Amino acid sequence: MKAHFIVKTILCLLLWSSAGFSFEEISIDSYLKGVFGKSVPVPKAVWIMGDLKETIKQATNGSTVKLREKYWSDGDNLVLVLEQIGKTELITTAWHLKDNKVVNTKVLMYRESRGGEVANSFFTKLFKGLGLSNDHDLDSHVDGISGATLSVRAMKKMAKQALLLSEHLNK
Amino acid sequence: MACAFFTILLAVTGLVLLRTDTWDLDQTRPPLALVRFFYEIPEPKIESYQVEGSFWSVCEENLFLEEAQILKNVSSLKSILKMNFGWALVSPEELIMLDPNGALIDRMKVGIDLPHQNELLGAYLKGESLILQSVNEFYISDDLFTWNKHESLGEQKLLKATKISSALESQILENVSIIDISWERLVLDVHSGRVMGRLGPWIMELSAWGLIALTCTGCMLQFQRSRLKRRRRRR
Repeated sequence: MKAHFIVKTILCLLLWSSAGFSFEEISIDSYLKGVFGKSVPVPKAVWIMGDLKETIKQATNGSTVKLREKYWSDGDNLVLVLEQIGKTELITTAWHLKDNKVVNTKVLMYRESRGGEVANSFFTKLFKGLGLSNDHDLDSHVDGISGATLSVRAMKKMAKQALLLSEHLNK
Repeated sequence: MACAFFTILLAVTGLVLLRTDTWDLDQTRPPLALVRFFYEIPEPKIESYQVEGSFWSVCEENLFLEEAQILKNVSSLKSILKMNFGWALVSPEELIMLDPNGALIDRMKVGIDLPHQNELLGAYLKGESLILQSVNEFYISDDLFTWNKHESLGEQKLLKATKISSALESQILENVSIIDISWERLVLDVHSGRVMGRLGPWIMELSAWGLIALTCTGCMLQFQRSRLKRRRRRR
């Protein structure tokens, strides 16, 4: 009984220490090389106007939408760099998409003092394989993180925006 | 009495927070006077510049065009240029493109969208092209999308701060103070005791423990009474 308790306590401490927030900034160049290898395509601009702008605005609960977004595409793979405000600061993320589904996402810059758990791989991998449903919502549930509600919300908004832009570019 | 007050406060604010979505507490803003009272917010500073007849201001990292709040997370301004597409604004961290009405076209960050590796110092116009300067780096662009290295152009002319009217100042202060604090945040900070200073969270925690103790002792008393009742019935 005593041994059981000691083992459980040690396991809990290990999990707690490993779940701590440690964030390493990664450059966009490194991310692009990870996706495209040596032949990173020339970046292009997509203009967000009319219906597309309204759709993105609705899907992201009225967030400010840039009229121009930069993207990198080799025909199959698409990379976008998006930003949203978490609680008070901007979170910069890179999104890799293929066939209108999320392949991978990475937080490039996290500026808040709390809620940085969203940068951890245990959270970002929840977005893998996500697409959009007919009502422009994410087609799968993404778990929240206690203490990082606003950062999680920002990540979901960026996921929707990335998927909408992917659909627009693939038309 | 004090214990009862804090316990009730804890319970009521908890109930209110449960209704955040129903009452849209995260989308609505409390009055400015209430926010200033609870958070002891000092009078914010405003930096204003007049360019081509328009007043641009930065207050608490919010960018204003006249009295309208345009963008958040803008630290300060180094240059403001009127362009054919609208406006180009330079802060140390980014180049901001706005249309003539202030709608955001793009925000290009140093190190991500811009080739510069250091803080931006300002911008110049060379015909239709824009030259963007950071320490020892000059880059030129026609479309503000692709950038090419350019030779040094010497000292940058600094933006001159302007005094704005008190009416405009009041409008900006009104908008900036209420922008980021929602009812949800205020109620949460009351619920957690954070608005009551350093002792606040301790007081609310004690109230929560008190509530738990009341519940447990209440259950114990109820259990003892029902046992007594059963014993009396058997007799």
